[in-house]
Amino acid sequence: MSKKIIFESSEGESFEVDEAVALECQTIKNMIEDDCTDGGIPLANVNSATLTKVIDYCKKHVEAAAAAEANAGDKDIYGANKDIELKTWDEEFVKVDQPLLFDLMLAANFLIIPGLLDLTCKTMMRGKTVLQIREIFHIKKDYTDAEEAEVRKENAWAFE
Amino acid sequence: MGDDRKIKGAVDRINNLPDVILQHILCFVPTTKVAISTSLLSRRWRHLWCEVPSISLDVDTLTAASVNETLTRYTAPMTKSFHLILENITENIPYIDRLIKFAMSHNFENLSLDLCSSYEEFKLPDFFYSSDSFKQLKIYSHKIVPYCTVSWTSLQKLSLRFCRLSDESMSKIISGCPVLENLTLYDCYKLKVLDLSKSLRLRTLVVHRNMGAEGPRQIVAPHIHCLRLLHSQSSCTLVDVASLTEAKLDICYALSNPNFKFKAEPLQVMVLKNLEKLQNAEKLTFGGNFVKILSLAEIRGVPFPILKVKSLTLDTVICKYVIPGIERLLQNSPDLEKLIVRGKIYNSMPGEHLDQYLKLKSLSPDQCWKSKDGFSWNKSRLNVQPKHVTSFMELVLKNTEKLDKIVVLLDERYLTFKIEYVIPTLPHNSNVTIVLSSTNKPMASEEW
Repeated sequence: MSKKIIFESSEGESFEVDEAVALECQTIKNMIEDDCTDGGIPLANVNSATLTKVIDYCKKHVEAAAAAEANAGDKDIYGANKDIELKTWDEEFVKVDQPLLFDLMLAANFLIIPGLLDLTCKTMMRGKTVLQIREIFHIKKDYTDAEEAEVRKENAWAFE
Repeated sequence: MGDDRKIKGAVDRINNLPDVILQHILCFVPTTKVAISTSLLSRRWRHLWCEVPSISLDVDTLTAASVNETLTRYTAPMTKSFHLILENITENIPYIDRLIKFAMSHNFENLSLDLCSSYEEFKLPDFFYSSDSFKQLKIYSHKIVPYCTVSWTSLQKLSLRFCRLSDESMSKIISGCPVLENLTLYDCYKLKVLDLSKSLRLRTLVVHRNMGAEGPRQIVAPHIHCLRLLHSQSSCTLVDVASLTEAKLDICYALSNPNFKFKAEPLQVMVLKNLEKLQNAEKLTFGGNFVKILSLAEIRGVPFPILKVKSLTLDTVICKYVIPGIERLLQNSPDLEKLIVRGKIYNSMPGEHLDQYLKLKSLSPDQCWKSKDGFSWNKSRLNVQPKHVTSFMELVLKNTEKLDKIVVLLDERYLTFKIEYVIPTLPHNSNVTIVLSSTNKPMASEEW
């Protein structure tokens, strides 16, 4: 049986995962290598809902990698289709509300899961105009009119 | 996600993110122009774009000067990729030089220049040919003529597209890339001899000779392990590919080109010569057109070399025009362990052209395409029937000894039957696993 690692969310809830799944997180990998994972790993800044999703993501990617290895020949047969499948899964995975997307991004950043960080960052502003970005993310304009005019002027071609 | 803004938790969270994450987010917006437009958001965002590690610009005549001006504010300590699309080269020559200088002074590792224009006199600046930071270069330009020495000491991956490149220029470039591992040439039609014998680290070579593209006519690449070669109608000889372990070959068949002429005879000579050079490769993939030409050679009784291939993939639909070629390939591949047949339909050579050629040779197409045991094969992808699939499997089993797996992938879009109907009729052989499958997705083989 594979070794288990126990995560503890910010709410104190425990999550048991296979070591292979935990290894998807570079931060945890370092801890495992330094042998300091006994008694569970408290993740004070990751809540249960986010942690559940993060574990889903890592599980899926571990499974996909294992399946790809087991069926190395499939790649010859179906070519890129297998990768497309995982990509489609990823796309579905990030169809979540903005707060959760944020939490996922921060968790990916903290746990160092490059694939998940890229995925969430990619999704964050996709297809949005500056106006929409301002609205969705509540970014207050703190420019004076004169400053704003200057910003527009210095890169005028980008605002056309 | 329409209700996002009502959720309180979302408020201001983006403003609490460290710059590094915001810049990472900006890496994924489609162009640097979009990234720059976020500078309007607030003071914090004003200079964020300046440190985004990747730059992607689509520059036109109106904006070239301002883009250059904007880039003077770029200060990223870590840079990655620089992508430039520039139209109207004639009017922008001074700016191109400045943009390239910019990319080089910031040590971008991956550079992609899309400078396609019919303007003949354009040339890339001399300083471009000397860099120790480039790792990947993609150049899409009519003319690359290094008048100086080339020195790309870290370059691992080079891709040239539509470059009117002479042998001399090519050899100058190649000799300046001591660690080159991967070379891709798309329609570099002026090349005659592609000599890569001094590229000791080169492992992968991709050559596309689309449409009427003549070059290269000879390939000398003794160190490559992997070759992907798409032929045009004009011949191309593999002079030396002694280290090859894996190859994929096909022939481009451009019907839309008015000057197109089917050169059946030289093509047969070429594919057989190619085949001789692939004798030691263990993994081979042939496209449908390549197999059809092999069929013509087989019908005309030309001897085939013996291959050491263990895994053979054929990107072709099952039809009468490929059967003689496949049969011969199997007979001449005594070590074959795995055969994959993918029903590829891209850019397919029409059977009538093959028929016409046979008639010219005073052969009867009907006789030629009939198999030795009298079985009539289907004409095209549209009339594949279960019996054809079954007969195909039988043919494979009959002509192979060490085979342990056959995979046949059918294109669902053209199937008139359910593959389940075929299964009970398939031949039994305890040593060989037979996989029959269908897909409605475009197959990877369509990406050349």
